[in-house]
Amino acid sequence: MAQVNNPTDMHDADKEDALQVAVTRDDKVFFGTDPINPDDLTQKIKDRLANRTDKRVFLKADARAKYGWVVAVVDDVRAAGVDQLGLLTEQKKSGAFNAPPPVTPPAPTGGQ
Amino acid sequence: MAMAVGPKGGQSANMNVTPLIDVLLVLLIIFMVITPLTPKGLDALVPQPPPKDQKQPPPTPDRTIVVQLIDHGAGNPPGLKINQDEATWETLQGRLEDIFKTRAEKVMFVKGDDNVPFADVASVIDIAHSAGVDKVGLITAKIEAGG
Repeated sequence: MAQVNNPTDMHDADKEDALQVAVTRDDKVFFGTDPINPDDLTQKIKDRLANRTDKRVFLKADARAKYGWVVAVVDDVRAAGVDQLGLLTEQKKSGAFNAPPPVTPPAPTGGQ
Repeated sequence: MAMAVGPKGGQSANMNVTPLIDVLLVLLIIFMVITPLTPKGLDALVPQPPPKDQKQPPPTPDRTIVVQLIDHGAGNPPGLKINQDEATWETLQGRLEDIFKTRAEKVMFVKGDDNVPFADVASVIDIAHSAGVDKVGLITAKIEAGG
């Protein structure tokens, strides 16, 4: 999973009925824990979302997965009527690669 | 004159608590290990096409912010563009903060080249969230094609 600096908590992703789609590095797609053909993904998510108000899908993508492939899967998820996506990530440890620049401390005022 | 209370040589009333404490500590360690980790993630949106019978006014193009990731080949960090302007990873957060400081609707879109690793796109969304952008939309191939 990709590591980011300040992700938000997603308690819903732990629920029994949470819809989780995973994309691996070698372009395989999993729905929950079962491998699935991306062509069937739209129909499957539609079925599962049919009688639900909270149309939200969680996407767990490998950090090294090609974005083009991830977006293709997102397109399939979107076709099922999902507009809220939770990108599951991990909390980055210190020593980040793409860290935003540290906030510069305010200039001291009132000094001599 | 001795005050002998109770029989001499009786049983000691002190309980041996050492094994109890041992068990307690072991249980504590077990519960610490199996603490469920709350899943963490980034919120993102995928715009849905408007209903067919309803004409939605197209968003004013000059207010739409699209951050683009441009592939520079494997091993190189991808280049960044805010709309048409080049940006760098270091200055991205400051630029976005400047742009969205005066806006009420903090909406941004992210677009990436096919060969960009997902981790870099996640970093951009992360930076956008820390710059105060509430809604980050992903632009997919079908959305770009107008579907």
